[in-house]
Amino acid sequence: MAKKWFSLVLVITVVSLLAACGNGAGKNGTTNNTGGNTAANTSAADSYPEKNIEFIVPFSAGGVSDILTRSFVEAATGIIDTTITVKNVNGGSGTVGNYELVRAKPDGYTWLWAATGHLSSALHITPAEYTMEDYTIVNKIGDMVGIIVVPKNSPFQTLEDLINHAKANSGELTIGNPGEATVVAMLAYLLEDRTEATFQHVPFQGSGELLPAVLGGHVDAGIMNVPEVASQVAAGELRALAVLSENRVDQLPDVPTISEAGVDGVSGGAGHFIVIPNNVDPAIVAKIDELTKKVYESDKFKELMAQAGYQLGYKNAEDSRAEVEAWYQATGEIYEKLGKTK
Amino acid sequence: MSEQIIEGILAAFTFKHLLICLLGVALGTLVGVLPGLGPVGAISMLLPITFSMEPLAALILIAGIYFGGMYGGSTTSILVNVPGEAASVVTTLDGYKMTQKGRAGAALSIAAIGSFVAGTIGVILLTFMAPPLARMALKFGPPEYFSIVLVGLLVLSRMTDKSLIRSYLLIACGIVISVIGIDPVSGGLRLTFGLPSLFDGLDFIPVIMGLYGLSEVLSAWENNDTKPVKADLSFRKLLPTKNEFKRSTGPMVRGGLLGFIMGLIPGPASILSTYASYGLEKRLSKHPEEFGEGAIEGVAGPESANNGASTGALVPLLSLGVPFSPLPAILLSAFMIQGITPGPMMIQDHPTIFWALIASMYIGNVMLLILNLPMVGLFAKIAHLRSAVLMPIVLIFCIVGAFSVRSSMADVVIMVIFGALGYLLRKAKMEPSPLVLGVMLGPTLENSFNQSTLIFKGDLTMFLTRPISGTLLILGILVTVWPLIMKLVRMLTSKNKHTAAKE
Repeated sequence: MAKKWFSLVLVITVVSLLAACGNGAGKNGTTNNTGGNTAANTSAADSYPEKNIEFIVPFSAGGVSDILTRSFVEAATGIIDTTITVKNVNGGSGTVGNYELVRAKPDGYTWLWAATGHLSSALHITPAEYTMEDYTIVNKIGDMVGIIVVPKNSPFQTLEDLINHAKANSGELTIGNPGEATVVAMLAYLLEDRTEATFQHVPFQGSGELLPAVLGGHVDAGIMNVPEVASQVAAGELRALAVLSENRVDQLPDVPTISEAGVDGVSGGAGHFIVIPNNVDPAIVAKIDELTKKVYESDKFKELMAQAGYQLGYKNAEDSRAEVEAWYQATGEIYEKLGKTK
Repeated sequence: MSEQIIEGILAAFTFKHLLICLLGVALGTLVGVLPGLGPVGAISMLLPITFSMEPLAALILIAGIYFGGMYGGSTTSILVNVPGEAASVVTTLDGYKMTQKGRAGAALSIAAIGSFVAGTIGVILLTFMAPPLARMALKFGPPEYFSIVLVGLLVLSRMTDKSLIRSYLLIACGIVISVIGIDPVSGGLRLTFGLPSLFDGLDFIPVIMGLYGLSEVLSAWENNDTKPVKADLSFRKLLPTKNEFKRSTGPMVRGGLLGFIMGLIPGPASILSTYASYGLEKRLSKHPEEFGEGAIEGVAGPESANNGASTGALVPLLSLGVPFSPLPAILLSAFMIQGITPGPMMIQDHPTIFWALIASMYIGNVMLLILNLPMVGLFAKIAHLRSAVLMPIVLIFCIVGAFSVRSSMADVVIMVIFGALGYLLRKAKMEPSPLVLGVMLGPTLENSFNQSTLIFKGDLTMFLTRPISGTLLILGILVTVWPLIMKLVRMLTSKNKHTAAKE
């Protein structure tokens, strides 16, 4: 008798739980792509935003993108007159969240905090279910700038030293990156390609693992993002050889850019953009551009970004699109050479 | 300097900060006890709220959750054989056995006291020795991680099973399970059988929820509605006996120190530390045969090690600004949001906040002890429910826990598969912890081996020529091979005698 009861309770528990969980999953999974409203509707744009905005972050909570997005939402209070909720949809190097955005309703109430990688270069190597034509870029927020660092007791004082050593001793010099599919790893390959030096690339699982390996001198050099190493550089634990951007970064004004250090064409790929689905009313797109630009220019946002070591740099839709496409081209060639395209 | 220290301590003792500390540790305990959502998830959910708080209050809150989560993790291991986190797997071995013998209260109390002892030892070491310790930790690179993990697998897996072959078999299975997903080097898919839910690999929580929790439910079902252990639940009986206290003191201190030191090292060393502490206590014990049957040392040691490790992990974060594992990494995010960069400059730039934070860690540990001991009675009552009531609760726990990690039904299915596997292992009288060790350490073993071979440019002898890695490997190999040699020698000598007798 007891056994029967026991079984009954068990079965009921399982069924009800599965039903509950199943519903939740279903809701998340189903979004439709119908109802493309292309007709310009100025009245809709005037009253935008009328409801809550869902802001998709394609990476996990607590990561750099997540913190940047949440900082944006914090700074948007009082500028964008609605509630913005952040939703983390991680997986597939950002492509899972990007795909969710592509499938979202094109009403202007779903945004994506997009990085150059999953918008473009990742499409060369990952099995993503969208193309570069499947989303609309509103504008560019700024860059997470890459940087090349060596331990404080390293013999290399400048980037030139490092490159010359790598050329003289082919494949001897180890350079750590935070993961094979990351943008900064791509920059390491680009550096190799542009200088004709040969490095031994060592992939780590994220910069959290890479940083102690560089500090401890287990690799000769490391390539990662500015905010991750800025305090180590300031404290003299690491020596920065070059930042991988067109202009010097505010946080480390003494570090030369890569072209100042004598190598051209090794920058980019680290931009962040506001992306929405295709077929959103152009008037609403313009309104989103206007509102977000106001947030970028607010003191609060500037202050938060300065704390995070983030380089702001607004670009309009057209220039943003051009930047993403240029990165797609450049990486396509490198992946081709490496034999990594899918 | 000393003025700033006093200022910091006073700041931590203001009513508001004490209250926030209490809130943090209470939330942390809750998160630790509940399945699925761990401290990493809880802190990242709370991060947006901390935006509008002042820096010190925000950091005290987050640190409270961090410490609280470590206290709560063992509760379900002891009560229902379901480890809520990787670091509590070892606690099931003796903790659950103690519950079955009616000593749940004692096990829970010792776990709480051990956590307090280790936490306090850790914070004291952190206060006085952080910078040199952090420098020491940097001596460990990928080759050293590889050696630690390899030796750990070889040596520690044997502590739960007498049969070497069975243990190594389970470890190998664990490692194979751990490679499921995207290959970290080539980006290719491994063992996913075309199922997209396997692309990101298996999460650890559904695996242990199944192996331990669901298999417990299944065997309870099979054994019918067994009568719960009759136990006196009066408060006096819930507390550990004098003898139990005496037996736990050594393991607590040793576990705390061991955990702290291993916590300094990046990677999964903190998980290894719980296994190492268990092995150490079994070796040192006067009655090793009790281990696995409900030895109090088997709870006291690993639980202290686990807390020591989480404090140790703060050393590289606070003195170098480098987080070695996901949990300190999320703390780093919390610091950055407040515009404070932990690391070499923190004591100079924000002395009051630094010392107040350290002071709040001492306070938090005391609060956690006071908070956790009264709950022992309540929890112990749960353990003594009849299984017709308890097991459905465990089942809910497992399903919700597995689902909540990534909000994915696939994880529930994985939990069920591992439940079936766990049940079969029970039938074969095999203890699943070597399998768990393989699953947990497989990725580090693989990544550090790959990184090492790249750093060595293919010259594998460098594993032996690097001092730390070489010493570890040689010791590990000796410990592993020694019993085999002894066996061989005995076999040969007995054979000789045999032939001698014949002649």
